[in-house]
This record gives sequence, C-alpha cells and structure tokens, in this order.
Amino acid sequence: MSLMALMHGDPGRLPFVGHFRAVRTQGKARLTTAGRVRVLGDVQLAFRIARTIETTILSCVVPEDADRHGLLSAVWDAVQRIEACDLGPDEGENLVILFAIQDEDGTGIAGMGLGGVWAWKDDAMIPLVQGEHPLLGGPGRPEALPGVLTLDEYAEVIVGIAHDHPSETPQPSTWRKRCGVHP
Amino acid sequence: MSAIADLDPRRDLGLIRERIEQQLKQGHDPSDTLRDLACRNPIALADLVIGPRAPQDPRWIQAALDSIEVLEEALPPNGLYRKLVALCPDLQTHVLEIAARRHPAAGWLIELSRNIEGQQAGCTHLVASAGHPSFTQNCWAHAAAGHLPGLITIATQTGLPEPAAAIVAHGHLEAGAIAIVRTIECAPDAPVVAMVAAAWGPDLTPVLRKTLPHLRSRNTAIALAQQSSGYGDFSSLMNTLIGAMVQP
Repeated sequence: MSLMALMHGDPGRLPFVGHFRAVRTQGKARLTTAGRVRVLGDVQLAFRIARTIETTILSCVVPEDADRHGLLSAVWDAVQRIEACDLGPDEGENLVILFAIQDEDGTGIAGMGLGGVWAWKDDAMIPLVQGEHPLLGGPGRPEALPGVLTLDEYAEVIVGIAHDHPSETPQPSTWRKRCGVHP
Repeated sequence: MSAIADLDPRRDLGLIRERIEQQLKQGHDPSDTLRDLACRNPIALADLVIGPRAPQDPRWIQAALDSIEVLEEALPPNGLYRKLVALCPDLQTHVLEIAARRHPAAGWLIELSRNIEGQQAGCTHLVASAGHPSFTQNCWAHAAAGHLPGLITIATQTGLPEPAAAIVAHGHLEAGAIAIVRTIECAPDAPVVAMVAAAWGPDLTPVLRKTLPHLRSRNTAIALAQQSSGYGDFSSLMNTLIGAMVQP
C-alpha cells in the first residue's frame, strides 16, 4: 500500500462535512493530503469548497524535477493562491490540512490546524506528535507551512485529527470507517 | 349522549363496561360515553380501552383514538400504542400515523413501524417527521434497522437528502445509489451528493458509480452530473453518458 494521509471524521452523523482528500505524484515524489474546511450549517457549500481544494491540488503546476519538498511547496502555494472568497465565509481561516510526502530519500508530514497525528504501523496506531509540537497548531493558510517533520520509519497511513477534536484517538478497529475509508 | 352519566368510574367499572358493550351491540356511537369517561377518570378510560377485559370492537378503539391525549396521561405511549395495534389490527396504520405525529422522535416507533409496515417500514414515521428536527435521527435509526425500501420511498416522495445519506452511512451502497437517484428525480437541486459525502467520506466515487444503472432520464443524469462535478473522473463518465442519452 502506498503512503496515504487521512483526516479523522468529526463527531456526529455527518463526520465529513467539508472534508477533502487528494493524491498527487510527480516523478518519484508523492504527496497525499487530507483536510477539512468548516462551514457551519451549509453542507453544500462545504462540499463545493472541499472539491475546489482537491481540484487545485490535483491540477497545480509542479516542477518536473521536484522532490517531495518541491512537490509540497508547489501544492501549498497553489492552496495559498485560492481566492479567499472561494473558501467560504471564513475565507480559509479554518482550514485544517495534513500532508504526507514521500520520495526515494524519505517520508515527511506537515500540516495546519491539527490536534494530533498518528501513524498506522504493524497493526497499531502510533502517535507521531504530541504536546506543544510545532506541527500541532491553529488552522488557516499562513504564507509558509510551519515545517516538515521527517519520519524515521515508513508508515503506510498517516491519520490527522483536527485541532477542535484533539481528544479523539483513532482506534485500530474503527479508524478506516472514521476516516471515510471503505473496502 | 353519555350512557354512563349516572355511574361513578371509581366504583362502577363493571357496569360501565357492560353499558359500553351494550351501546356497541346496538350500533350506537360510543364517542360521547368515551369523552365523558375521559373527562372524569383517564385511568378508568385506559383500563376500558386496553385493559384485559376491554371491549374488542374497532369502533370503540376508533373512538378512543380521538381521546388519545387523555390515554397518554394514564399510560406510557410506547405500551399504549403497541397495545392499541394488538387490540385492533384493522386500525394499525391509523394508530401508527397518530403515534408518529405525536411522538416523531420516539425510538420505539422504529420497531412499531417494522411490525406494521413490513417492507415499507419507516414510511409513515418519516413522512410525519419530515419537518421535525428529529428527521435526520429517524432516517439513521431506520437505516440501522435495515428499513431500506421505506427510506427509498421517502427519498422518492420528498426529495430530501437525508434518507440517501442514512442508507449509505450504514454501508448499503446499492440501495443508497437508488435513493440518490430518486432524490434527484424528485428534487434536482436537493444537495444529496454533498450530504452523502458528508456522511460517508470525501471520496464518493464508488457510490456515485453505482447510481449509473438506476438513471432513468437525461435530466436526472444532468442534475447528478452537476452535483458531482467536483469528482473529475466521474464527471467525465457522466458527460459521456449524457451525450449518449436521448430521453429527456
């Protein structure tokens, strides 16, 4: 299985309002992303914004020789360039996004608005970052991402949880469904 | 006119029962008697409607339904409506309609619906709660109970997106796909694709592909394509399909 970034669903009957997910490859670099925009009370608008972000990630221009960092930089620039008015009433200030990037030289993660990040490895959920880690912070679209955390070991799946539900923990038996992944 | 005006419900219950049975036997309307009893002693009324020696006559049950609020004062609704259905199967649909209208959020309506409506379980309950805040919760509860034909019927009749979302959220993709199409047929602008994605997950393509065999008109296909335009691959597929459709 290739590296995959997923966002844990929110509590409630509609856990994936405004959720998006996309995979982008360039040469041997792979970027996989998942995230959420929050538009309270408007499922349709949240859906439209989520698809806009996916389309932007899938269609943005990436240098042919980009490594994983170049790919991430190009994609984040594209997300940054989305018109604020196309991102709902909060103009992207509530954007939660998780990136997992990979090439021959390694794997890394980055993101905004995350309350926790886990890796699924050897049939267990392992917390990757905790406490005051720079990867965990508020949502939005800063000019540059706070940084990339390089992973020492390969993991197939990286699961992020939004900053407003940090007490949720992905469970080995349910994380697929809770992330909107279905067999 | 009440046939029991001279009797005391606390003391003369046996006599009251006899007079009611006599009224029914003679073909007289028992409504006045029932209303009189309802005003004076709801507990006695409840005993005479669903107690072990209650008159087993549909006209009596029908009259009792007109005083349902008084009966609910005397008995918990769950047991009351079950008993009314058991006593008079001919009136069970009417009983369910009243129960759903008066208690749209009640969980016991799920099982009662199944017992009464069978394959179409959920229809009466969901129609009654369509404008109520409990509608979404009720769709989920009926989907969890497997009442898929009923949910599809509601999607077809109302064009509301919640039934399709509930079906898909519970893993029934084929039935969910049918519900999506029927919703759009009824209300092309209903945000059914967005709501199903909100319930199931951001990559809805596997569900959307299952809608294709159920599309019966070009207009529905166009509406579905518009709603799912954010999914590039599926959108391309839909454009090809729409180009090949001649039916309006």
